[in-house]
Amino acid sequence: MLTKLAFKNVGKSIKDFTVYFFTLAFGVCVFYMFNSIYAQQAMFDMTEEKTQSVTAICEVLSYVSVFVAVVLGFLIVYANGFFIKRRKKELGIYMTLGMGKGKISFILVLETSVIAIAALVVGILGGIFLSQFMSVFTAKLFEVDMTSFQFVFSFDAMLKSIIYFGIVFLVVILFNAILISRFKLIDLIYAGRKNQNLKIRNTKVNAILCILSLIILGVAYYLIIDNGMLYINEKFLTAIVLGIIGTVLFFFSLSGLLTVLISRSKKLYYKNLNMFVVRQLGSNINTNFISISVVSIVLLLTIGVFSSGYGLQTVFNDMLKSMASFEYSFQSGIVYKGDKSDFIDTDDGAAMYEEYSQNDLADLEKFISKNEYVKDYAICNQYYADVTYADFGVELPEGFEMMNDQTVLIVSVSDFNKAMRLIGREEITLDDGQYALLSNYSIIDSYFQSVQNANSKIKVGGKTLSPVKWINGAVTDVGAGNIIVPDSIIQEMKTTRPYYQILNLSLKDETKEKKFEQQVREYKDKYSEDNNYEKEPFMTYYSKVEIYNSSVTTKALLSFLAIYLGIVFMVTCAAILAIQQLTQASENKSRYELLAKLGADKKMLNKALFIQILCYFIFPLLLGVLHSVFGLIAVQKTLSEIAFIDIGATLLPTGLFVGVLYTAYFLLTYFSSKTIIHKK
Amino acid sequence: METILKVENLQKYYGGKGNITKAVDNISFQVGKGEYIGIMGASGSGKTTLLNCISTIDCATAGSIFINGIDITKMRSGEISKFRRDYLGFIFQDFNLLDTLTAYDNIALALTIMKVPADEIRPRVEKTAELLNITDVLKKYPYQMSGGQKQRVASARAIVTNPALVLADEPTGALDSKSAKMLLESFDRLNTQVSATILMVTHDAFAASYCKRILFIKDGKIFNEIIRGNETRKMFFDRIMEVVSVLGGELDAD
Repeated sequence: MLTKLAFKNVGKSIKDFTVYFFTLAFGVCVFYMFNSIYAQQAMFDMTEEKTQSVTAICEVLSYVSVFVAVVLGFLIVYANGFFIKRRKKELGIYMTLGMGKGKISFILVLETSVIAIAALVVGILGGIFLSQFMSVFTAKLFEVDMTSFQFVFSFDAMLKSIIYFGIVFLVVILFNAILISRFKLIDLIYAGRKNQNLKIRNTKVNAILCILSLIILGVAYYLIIDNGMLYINEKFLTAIVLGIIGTVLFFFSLSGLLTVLISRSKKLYYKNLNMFVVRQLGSNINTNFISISVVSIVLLLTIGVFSSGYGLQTVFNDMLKSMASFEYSFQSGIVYKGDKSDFIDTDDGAAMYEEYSQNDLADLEKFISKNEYVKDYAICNQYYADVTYADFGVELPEGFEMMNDQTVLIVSVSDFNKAMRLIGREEITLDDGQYALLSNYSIIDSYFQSVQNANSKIKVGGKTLSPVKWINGAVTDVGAGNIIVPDSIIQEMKTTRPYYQILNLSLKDETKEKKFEQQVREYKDKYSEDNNYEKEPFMTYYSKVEIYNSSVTTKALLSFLAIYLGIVFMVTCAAILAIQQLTQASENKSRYELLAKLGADKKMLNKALFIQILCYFIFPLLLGVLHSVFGLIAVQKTLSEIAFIDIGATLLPTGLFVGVLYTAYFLLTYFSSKTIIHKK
Repeated sequence: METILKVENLQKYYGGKGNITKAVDNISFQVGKGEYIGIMGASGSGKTTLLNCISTIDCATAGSIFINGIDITKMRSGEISKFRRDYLGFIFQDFNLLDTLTAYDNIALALTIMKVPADEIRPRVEKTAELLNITDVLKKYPYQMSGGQKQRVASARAIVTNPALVLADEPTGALDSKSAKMLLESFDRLNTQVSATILMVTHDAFAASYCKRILFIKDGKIFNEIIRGNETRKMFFDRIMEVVSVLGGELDAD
């Protein structure tokens, strides 16, 4: 009998709460999909490095999944609390019939289990289905070819979904048991009759509060844009706190302002059901202002995570790829001289130069010159001449003052030309008394350009040089800025021992890269075996392939995180609003019935319902978007100093993503509410 | 006298094969303009079903109902809500005011549904409020009002649209005797001063004694009809009690 009751209840409530079930199943589905990425690589043709990066990403995603499960868990517990409240009267009837609290709990456990199992089954099936399509996307992200299409099923992901959501549902069951044990019969029976405490506040006070909240938000926006996103300081925290206070206050008082504004225009207020809608919406927002504020802030997070994730992945991708100009770039490094083992401040260029010696690339050169795969190579020396960024006399951009003490290394024009010849780029000539600036890192690029515009003279080797040009490029795969000087200057410098040595090379056949890499490793291992670091031929090396791989990993990770978290946040927000509106709809059924009795036709009622739900969905979105606009301006301002992010380009995918999910939830809510209201 | 409501051979059956309940069994009567008619009957007698049929909330199995000469049983659902809006006013036992709106807005709502121009609303609401003695509660919300005030606001909402027929379903059911008396006196005023046509369903003989004519219903049929004529309310009340005792005194069982 109890089982029958439970099943009937589920059937009844699923019709009303399609949105809830849809969200549960969708949550499981997304969870499964992102945990099945590891299994998807089965159908890719992947290099060893890429397999490693997939593994690394999957690990990050598995941590994020815990967080996701917690977020969805909160949503489920919240929704469940809502449903229990709605069913107080029904539970009261069970109790008057003599059913014990244990049995009532049992019914609820059964119901929750039925819904949970159904959601898990539907979600996992959906996840398995969608992950087939997702693998196409994954392949594109990792820039790999799909060898053959094959059916992917991840047992691990399924098990994980079942365990994580199982725990969530257990928490729900526990939560229900606690709720029920606290119920008093009298409250349950009169739950329907008891009027909800209507919070009708003084509209004028509210209107003033609302304006105040806008002022607070304005201050918060000003602070965040002024401060940027880079420094977590008092100003930043004040902006965040003011932003939260402003948001909560805004929704606390919104209904007041709305009522005052709309009722001022009698034509608008006393037209059709407008008055009813305004008041209804006002009371809805008043009752739920905290959760609406939370939704609005989480929407900001969603938009922020999604668009910066999307923006950053493009930036990293381009940045890393533009940096890798050489197929291989070996670099000498600092090795200990004798028994010196205390660590010294590596920022102190002079001390480092005096106290430490460098690897000698001579042995490496021998190895490279004999190697069958190498087409050509060039050694480039970087010299230390006690020139720092401060010596240019041009102010560094705000936030990068710490670079003032950093050394700028010197490269001779012939070394530079050799490196350029290797990759087929234009060579340069320098006259006496001239120097050129070299960089390929956006912040230094713009700085060097202003150095050149200011015609800042520097002293190298006792001579004063003036800048002739800025060149976008580098003499290594990973490097900051350099100064290029005529060869004659080097000889006149205090010491001609190079600070760093770099060996760049190009390969005969790019497809043989793997074999060359193998040989380089064997060569390096030969030296590191006996821990004799002083004799190591080089400190580190970069390869184009490696940089590409890491750029792909970063890109994939950022994309996955943006989409994964974006979807989960978005769904949570939309589901909270939807559940609130649906609960309202069933509570408001009698109100709509009354309106119908007063002669409002179906069209009029539907229109009122539509406007009410639309506004309820749109207000938190509008404020969230407004927050995001200022947040993203701050992000762009911060990042433009490091790299250029085209926020504009991220708007379309973000807008589409938010728009589609939000609209789907809005429409689902509207149609479900309509069914509830017109149900006889 | 102009006929506002004409019910002809109205029947309403519930149930299916072999299990038919005749809630309304062949009832016919007429209500003229400006009449104040009461319908009494025990619970289950069919009086609420009759009211629901007249108020277009329920549809009849057979027979016709003419309001202002229009047969509402033959109307399409689209027209029905328009008809309700333009010709009928409702007063419910449990007031059914919208608790998010002030008394003023509750009354105005009936007008906005009718699409009355905004500038006509204020004078009409205020005039009606005056008639029902609720001018001083217009700015209050339902939760700030007493039951009697709420019911008078609901009555104002029902008549502000100048309906052809006001239908009241147990309007005093949820009121204490003092408030009930005040409400009934208001109805009386509405009837005499603005000649509102009122049809009130009640099982309370005291409430019914304010009417000018009473129909008694038993088992879905009209059992008796009494007319007040020139009698005082007290004399009419005694006559009602006589009929009630003949009916079986079950009227208060509702």
